[in-house]
Amino acid sequence: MMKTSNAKILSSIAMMLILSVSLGFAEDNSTVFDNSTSTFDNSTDNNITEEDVKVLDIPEGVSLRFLQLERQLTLTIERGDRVVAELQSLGVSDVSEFNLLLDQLEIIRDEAASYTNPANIPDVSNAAVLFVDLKKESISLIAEFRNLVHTLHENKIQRLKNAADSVNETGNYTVRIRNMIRSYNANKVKNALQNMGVDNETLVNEIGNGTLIKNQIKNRIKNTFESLNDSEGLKALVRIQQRITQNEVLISSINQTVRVNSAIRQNERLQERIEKIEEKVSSLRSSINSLRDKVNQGRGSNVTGNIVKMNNGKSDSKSNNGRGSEE
Amino acid sequence: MKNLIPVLLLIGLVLVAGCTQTSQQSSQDSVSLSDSDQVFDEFESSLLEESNDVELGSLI
Repeated sequence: MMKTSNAKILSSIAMMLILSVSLGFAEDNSTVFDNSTSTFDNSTDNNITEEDVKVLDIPEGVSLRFLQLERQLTLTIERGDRVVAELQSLGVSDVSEFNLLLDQLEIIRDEAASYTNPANIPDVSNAAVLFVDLKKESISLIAEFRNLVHTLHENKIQRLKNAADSVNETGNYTVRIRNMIRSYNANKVKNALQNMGVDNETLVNEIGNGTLIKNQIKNRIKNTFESLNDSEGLKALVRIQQRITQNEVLISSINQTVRVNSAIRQNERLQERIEKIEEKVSSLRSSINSLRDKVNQGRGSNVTGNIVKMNNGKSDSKSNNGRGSEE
Repeated sequence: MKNLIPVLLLIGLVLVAGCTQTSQQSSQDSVSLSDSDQVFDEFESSLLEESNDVELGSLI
């Protein structure tokens, strides 16, 4: 009996010691200046860069990335339409595979556009994962378009390239993106100043207006830091470092999450895109039937022209709703 | 001997609390004022250049 009690006691002590040591190691793992390991693993995914995800820690950063994705997709779709038009002018009658890819890019573009306002991002992590997924899918669809062009029309590459390059950016994306980058930096600095217990609206506004470059921003923050006494300075430094570490942990977590069930999410979104395209095709068919009815009623050549245009798989509408990937 | 169990448990808890506190303190101790350059360099790298963009690849 005595031996049993002793064993239990020794066992309890051993467990506690193990627990203590484990906790100690667990805390040590978060030691702040360990730069030996990157929080982002580039080895398994060349499409998404550390630069892409490093801003996904606050809603402003996530919205910025969605806006940049929207801009790139808008430009790509317009260039794609120009390439398709060029193919048709060269006598290629079946452009349906190209149009199907462009239709999918358009659906992704519209989804990205719905997250370009930080107020529409209640959960940063989920939105960040969505951005990474959408970017990967966009890259994959664009690569498919590129491969298709090279496989089917290798002899027309230069003309198609010229056609694509003839499209320049439209809209006011450049200004909006520049403003969002400034807003992102201003938010970062505002947080850092709060960690120092300092309120400096002038500096935040200067950054928001874009009058300071990165190095100047750092120097201004350092000047503020150096104006603190040692005790306040140390507290501020610890808080800023903790924030940087939290950011790294969050990005690392996003990096892990995007790898889990990635294929399932991709298939679900593909299914959604197919349904949207089917809806569009159905709507186009209704329009065509309606126009045919009018033609049959003898209402003029203008209507006939519209049908021919739609059957060619092109549209002048901004949203390209008449691309007609069912051709 | 039974009376010793709560005492030993208490010692164990104190040990756990001590180690946790020490490790938390060590996390703070790992930052000193002389590290400020490194911290602010890290902060600077978290800011964005205005030319920053996402890349999707070319259509052709």
